[in-house]
Amino acid sequence: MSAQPILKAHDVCKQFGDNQVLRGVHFELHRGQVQAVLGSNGAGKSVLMEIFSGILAPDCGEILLDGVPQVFADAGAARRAGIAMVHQELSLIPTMTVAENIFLTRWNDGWVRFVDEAAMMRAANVLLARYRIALNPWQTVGELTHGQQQLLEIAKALSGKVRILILDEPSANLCAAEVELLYQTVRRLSAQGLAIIYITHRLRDVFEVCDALSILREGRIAHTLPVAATSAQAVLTLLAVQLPAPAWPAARPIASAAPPLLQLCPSNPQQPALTLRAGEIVGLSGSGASPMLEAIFGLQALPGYTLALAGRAVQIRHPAEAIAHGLHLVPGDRRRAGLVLDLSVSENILLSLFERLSTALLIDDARGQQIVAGLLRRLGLKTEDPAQEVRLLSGGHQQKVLMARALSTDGRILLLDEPGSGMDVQAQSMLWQIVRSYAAQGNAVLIASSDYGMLAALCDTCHQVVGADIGPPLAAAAGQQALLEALHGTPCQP
Amino acid sequence: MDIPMQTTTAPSTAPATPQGRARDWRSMLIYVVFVGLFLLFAVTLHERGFLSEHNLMNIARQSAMIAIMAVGMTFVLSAAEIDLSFGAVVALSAVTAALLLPHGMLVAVAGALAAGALCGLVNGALVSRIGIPSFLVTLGTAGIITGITRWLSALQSVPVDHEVFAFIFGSGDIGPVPVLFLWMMMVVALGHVVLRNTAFGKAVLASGGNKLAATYAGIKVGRVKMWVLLVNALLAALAGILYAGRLHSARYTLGENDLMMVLTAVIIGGTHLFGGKGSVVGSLVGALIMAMVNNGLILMGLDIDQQLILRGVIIICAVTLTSGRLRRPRR
Repeated sequence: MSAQPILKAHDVCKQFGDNQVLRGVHFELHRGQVQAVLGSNGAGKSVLMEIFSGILAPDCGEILLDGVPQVFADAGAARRAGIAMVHQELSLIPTMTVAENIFLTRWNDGWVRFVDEAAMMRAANVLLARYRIALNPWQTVGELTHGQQQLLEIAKALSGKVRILILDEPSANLCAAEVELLYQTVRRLSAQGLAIIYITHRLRDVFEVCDALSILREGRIAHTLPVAATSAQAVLTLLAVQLPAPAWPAARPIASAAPPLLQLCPSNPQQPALTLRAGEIVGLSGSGASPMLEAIFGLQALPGYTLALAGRAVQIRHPAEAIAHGLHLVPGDRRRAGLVLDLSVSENILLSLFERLSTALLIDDARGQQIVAGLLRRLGLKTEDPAQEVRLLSGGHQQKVLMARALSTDGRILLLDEPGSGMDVQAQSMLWQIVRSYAAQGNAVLIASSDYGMLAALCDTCHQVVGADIGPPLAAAAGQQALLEALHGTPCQP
Repeated sequence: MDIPMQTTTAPSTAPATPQGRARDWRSMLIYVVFVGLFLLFAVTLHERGFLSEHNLMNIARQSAMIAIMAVGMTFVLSAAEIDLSFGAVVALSAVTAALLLPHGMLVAVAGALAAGALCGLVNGALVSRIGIPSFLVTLGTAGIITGITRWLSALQSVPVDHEVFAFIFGSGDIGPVPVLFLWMMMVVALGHVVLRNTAFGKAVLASGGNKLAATYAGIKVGRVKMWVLLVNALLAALAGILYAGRLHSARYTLGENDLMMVLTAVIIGGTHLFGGKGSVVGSLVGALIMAMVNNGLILMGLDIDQQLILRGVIIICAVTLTSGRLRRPRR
């Protein structure tokens, strides 16, 4: 390993409003190295990577390439300097071919220039062969599997002159075979001298493909160590330190005599069931966690399970039926699935309630405003004007608006999909208190999240959900460490 | 680029109020445009009798037809759908009413409304059950409905010889007020209340603004789209009946030129072309503007070519002023 790092961050900080995301990051990456970056949600991983790839500019500190300080005007400048990033959400155009997608960014070079399709296919073939990525340049992207699309996204990033590749949770949505393919590709790329930053929540990734790992915590690099010199146990210990200490007593009375509020019974009795009792908070983790919530809420089919609410088997075909049964879901992607941006704060809150608020056809406005005022107070939003458009609120407050909508229907079961994403620590801890007190009133909460720290601190039990299969219950009482280990699976030792 | 990430991390409460106010100010502009155009015509066309009672009643009658159709279209556009077939429904309903009139007035009205409802149900079912975009569905049904109307009427205009029918549906005046105007006020008032103060109205706006979010909130979006297209077809049928009563005859060409007029009135009125925002009162003012412009251009003594060109210019100016960016602003 050469002495001069190819990429170096020196004392980098970044602040959004009052939220100090990065507080002086020191980071080094060497040629041919695969360095894992770990840390909980909100630790600043994404912001750091966006600074590396020129999307954001640091407030202070500097970025050095081969020892030379750099100022990137935009993402294009970083790319020309040889830094490419593969984002977590794929940015492919499904109706175009593999080759067209690879060269998509180059089409900006000149609109009038004739696109030589044969040459483009040849170039795509050369590129795919050089990195030994098994894709057919003629194939339409929509026909590819998720794993193949991830590989294509990497190929697209490599289409220029690239020396540093940033992968943001590349294995997050892949199945086992696809993950193997990804590992092979990453190993090959690093053997060819590429330097790679590999962001992940999976310990297995770290021990399979990475040389070094850095743990980002509260805006600083807390630890950097070579993978060979550590163990999964040690990494888990380092990660577990940052778990917020639960500010509430762990054991709470749970009336176990009554039938559970919600139960998912597998058609195959060998498999574990999911049980949600009054007063309980249960966490789901893994690739199937969010789809499982959507299935319970009636947004998609629930294969292999029967749903029982308060002991009675029910079938839910639409969210309207779920809401009538006392369930509500707070979606993870609030802009896509949560908010109607053209409507006001109060209309967004009351969206699930308008039918119940109608007396003789017309909406009872006075009662609606009363309910909105109560919910705004309960969620610490009383300074917001309920008549303003919801688009004008900050991200954290928008998330609370969705929470208010879910609470407005007075249901007994709350489904939370990736709660707290995009919220700062204070807003999050306030949200957790709301969730806690909601459960303590004899209701129940089911949370899908990849933030294992939050799951361990907040939940009574957790399940790993892979595909459509729910894993056995893991009691939080067994200790956060054990829970973490179980949720992440046993890592392969190097 | 990773824009969503940035918007979630960057707190952005500060510029809230000025932006909100700017948008409100813009939505008031349509009234300014209306008053401005009225004053302009009142001054320049005073000699030609723009302000005469007879002429103002003419404007009222013409705007009434546009406004009634615009109310339905306001619901359709608010739900992020479109209905290209409603001109055809107008003609079908007018011809049906005229043909059935010998069997009695009630039969004629019921038959015309039933024909409209059937068209709306077919449109709605194809959009909500099978999931074909309404643009394509109504493009197709428009042709089918026009074909049926031509066949029913044998390309002849069907006379309406029923004085009571003609009085109630379009030609009558109660005192100085045209009956048509009363129909319009009724439809507009009803539409306004339904869109603003009922659960259905909120469901329409939510489905048009963010279909997925509406679904997550428990709104049955398919059912909303079905109803919107049905309501629009029923209002088109009512417009057809009013045409038959007002003109004392029905022809398969009725409603042919109304589509663009109505769409323009609705969009000038502040309803979003791509859903999420709608105003029935705005559409009424839009209809008044359209009728006034038509009337003014004729009074100016322009020939058809000049009218078309000038009307196009005025429409573009009005839309630019009142709706600005038609796409929903992004942040």
